[in-house]
Amino acid sequence: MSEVKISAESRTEFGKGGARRTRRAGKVPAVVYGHGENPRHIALPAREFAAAIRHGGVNTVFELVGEDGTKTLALPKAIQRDPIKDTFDHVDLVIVKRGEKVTVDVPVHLVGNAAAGTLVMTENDRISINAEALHLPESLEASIDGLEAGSHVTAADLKLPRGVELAADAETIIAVVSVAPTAEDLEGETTTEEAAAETAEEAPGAEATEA
Amino acid sequence: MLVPRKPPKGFRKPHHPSRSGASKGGNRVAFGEFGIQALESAYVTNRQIEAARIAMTRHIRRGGKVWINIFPDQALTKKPAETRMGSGKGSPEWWVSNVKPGRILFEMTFPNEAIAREAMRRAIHKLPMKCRIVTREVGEA
Repeated sequence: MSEVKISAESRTEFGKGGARRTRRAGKVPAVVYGHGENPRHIALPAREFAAAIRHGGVNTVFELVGEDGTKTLALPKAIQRDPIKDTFDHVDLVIVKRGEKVTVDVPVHLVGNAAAGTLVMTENDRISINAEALHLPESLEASIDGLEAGSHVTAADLKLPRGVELAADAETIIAVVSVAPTAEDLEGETTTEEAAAETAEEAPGAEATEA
Repeated sequence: MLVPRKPPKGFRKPHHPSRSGASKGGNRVAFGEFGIQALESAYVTNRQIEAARIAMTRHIRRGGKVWINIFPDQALTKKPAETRMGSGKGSPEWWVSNVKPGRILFEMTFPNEAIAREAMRRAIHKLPMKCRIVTREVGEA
């Protein structure tokens, strides 16, 4: 994955008022830090940043071009999004150097179809890896093809590209294949919950009469 | 239906919880493949939660799993009908969950997306606020 060039304006106003003004101007407030440098507050163009994340994933390396022409390589460390509008509220960027190895969380996609009559449940959709900052894989794939009920996929089953090492525990569970619940199982839940509710519903009424 | 085992002492007749602001957590699909996300704030009663869950499970019938991410842990009180004002606060009448915009209410895993969406659409009709169906974004920050 190659780095994405993006202009970085320095920010002079801070706090929620300043941050909101920055967002209204079509920019994303961000902070850059790392490698012993003082944190720098910057603003990134929102459309370009969103497009880069959409196409390259959350581990896209950015080449920040400052107002004075200085270039800095940075990797998103934390991205805050608005849950309703799905826009970017704030980004933490960590400075990286060429050839430096970094630890990042990479998305894991499940490929293939498990055996008939099974239900696949994802336990972890991201896994921690060590890799060179400029050669981070966009995602990893885990095959669930033909897996029977009772089996699971662990981090050790992932096919890692060359130069990538697993940072997470090899026994971390990615997905679990279980027997698909039957109609009786789902109805069974209802009856047990209703029975519990009947007993519990008595409590508030009893307390009310006491009061 | 979901009901707290025992309300904590001093919280049996609480004031109405705040309905302002957005949900601080539980905004992303974490367990299943699809989710129902609230777009407005509302008090969701245990009856509404159960009705929505039944609507979903009856539609998918088998082969899927449903998660309920909210719990009705707030009591709302009501004075009896034709009662004069005063004489203290009414008795607990409903158990509700204080839902704010952005909150994922239910999650679901089902192999067929069209059936899962229809099941969630039916469940949304049982809920007291505007909602939308969201899908899990793998590996999002």
